[in-house]
Amino acid sequence: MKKTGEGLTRRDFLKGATFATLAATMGLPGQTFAEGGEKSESSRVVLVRHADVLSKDGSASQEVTEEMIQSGIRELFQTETAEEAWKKLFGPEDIVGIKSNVWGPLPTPGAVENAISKGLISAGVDEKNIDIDDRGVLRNEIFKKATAYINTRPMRTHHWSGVGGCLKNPIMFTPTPWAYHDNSCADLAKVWELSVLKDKVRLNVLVMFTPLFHGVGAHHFNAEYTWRYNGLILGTDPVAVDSTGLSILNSKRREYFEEDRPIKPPAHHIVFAQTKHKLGISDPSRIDLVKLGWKENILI
Amino acid sequence: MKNGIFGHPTVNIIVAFLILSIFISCSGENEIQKDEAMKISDLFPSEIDGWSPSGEFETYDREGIFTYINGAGEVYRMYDFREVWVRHYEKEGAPEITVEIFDMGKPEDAYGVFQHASQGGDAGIGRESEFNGGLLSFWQGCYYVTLLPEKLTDDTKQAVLNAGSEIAKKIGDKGEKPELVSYMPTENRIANSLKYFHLHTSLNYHYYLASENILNLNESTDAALAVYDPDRVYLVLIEYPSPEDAEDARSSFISAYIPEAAEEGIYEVQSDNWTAIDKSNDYLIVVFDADSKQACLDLIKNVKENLTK
Repeated sequence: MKKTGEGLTRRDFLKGATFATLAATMGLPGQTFAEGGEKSESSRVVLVRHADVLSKDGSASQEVTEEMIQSGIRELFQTETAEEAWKKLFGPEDIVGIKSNVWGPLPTPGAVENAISKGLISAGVDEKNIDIDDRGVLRNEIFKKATAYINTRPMRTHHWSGVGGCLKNPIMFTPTPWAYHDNSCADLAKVWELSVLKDKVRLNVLVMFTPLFHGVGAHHFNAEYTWRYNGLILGTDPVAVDSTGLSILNSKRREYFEEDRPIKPPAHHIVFAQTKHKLGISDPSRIDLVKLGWKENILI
Repeated sequence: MKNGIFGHPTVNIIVAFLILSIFISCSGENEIQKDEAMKISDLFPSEIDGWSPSGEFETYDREGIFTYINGAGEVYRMYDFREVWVRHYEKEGAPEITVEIFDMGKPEDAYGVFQHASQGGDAGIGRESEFNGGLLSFWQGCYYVTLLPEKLTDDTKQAVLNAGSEIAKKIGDKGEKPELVSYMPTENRIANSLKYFHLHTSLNYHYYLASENILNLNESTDAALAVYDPDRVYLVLIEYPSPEDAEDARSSFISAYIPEAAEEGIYEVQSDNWTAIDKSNDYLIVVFDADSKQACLDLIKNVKENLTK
């Protein structure tokens, strides 16, 4: 058996503290218990929720969304004001692409895109040096010149990769997305090594307003399997952000189905992003999760 | 590729004639492909309980399916998927209904893709069907068919059931399940747990074994998986192209997963959790999560008996 993370088997997940906690991330059997030994590295993630972010018709309030983004980024960087936090990340010299997601049934809400743009402007980024795109990122002039990106999309289960979150969102930065599909997208983290992207994503915002926790049909969508969670997850580590979102989806599935029903296929790309590609932290025991705002049915 | 083919009914007839004229003068291979495509369009209802076709047909082939259903197109590409035809139906004041007919190349793979995400719940349509999460799906012949109303109401439910029945009737030929699944023991088998596939990624979908392809699964292997009570024991039966291929896969599995078992091919990987592998000609029989060595041996014996019947 290989135990390096290069190639993992079920037996690796069944034994050993490290892989047992990762197994829990994937919804695989394996005991979840606190790891012994040193925890050399951790990632800070902020979950912010607001009971009133969505109107009756499901549209997101611009004002409340901005309030959530601002409080989230302030907490993430532990600054006095949100503006200080934005200025830690961006400055007037930056050209910034906001990598959004246009997937029809569950796109990135405009309110989130606008709130991020405002934050960038507060950091001194020139409005003309900011653009929002998804499928056209390789042709977008701002994205082509970008010095930095912000990565934002809603969390959902996915037919092929288990879940679609921040790790998967930059797939449009390659002209051959299918080249990353092998083995249920196990090595999605490789996308982050593309020269156009590497070390340029400074903030990830996983939208958890109405996440999709289960899919049916060819398009893997039915509104029946979304719910009003009213949350945003912010972090600089996309692996920790997705791992946190995945934990919430798993909790929701347990609540809804009244049994453990692991997401299929397991979202092993999140685990491999830590163990094999060293992109970030997927192990929940090493994620410093800060929870802000509305606590009802928080599920984590 | 997404292809807008037909619109107005009159245009449909003219275009159909033109296409027919063109492919009559083309090569035999093209003729067969076009003829098949025409048949798929004919399977769609002209109307569904007052819902009328809206817009043109859409068709997507093995490459174009990514455009239509994002990365999830891989699920269909794990099988012998050829193309999918899509049509939307509208009715004033009512939710839209989308009908999709997937040409899966052969009945075995129509069965496989249907079972892939099946949750059970027979709707009584086609060879096998289910109605879950507002989605009616069934397989029959070479086709996997889905009907999804934008919103599930009493009216849309009845409409998709009626439309599904009509499509199944038009398909006619029922198609046979893969012979391989008939070798899987039925006693204590958990309902709806039987799956059929070819690739390592499918195995990992149903039972996460390893990130690497340690059982040497590929397009030329056929595999069945089922779960058995008590204790949710997983049984996997794989047919390889030759006994040599089966032996190579057995060695690969033992080396990567249960090296302690050596040639015996059976090992307690955790307390009361046994894994076993055995070979019978072109076949490998693999048992996971059994609570005893005897439970492994019993399942393997049952499969071997079925293989020799």
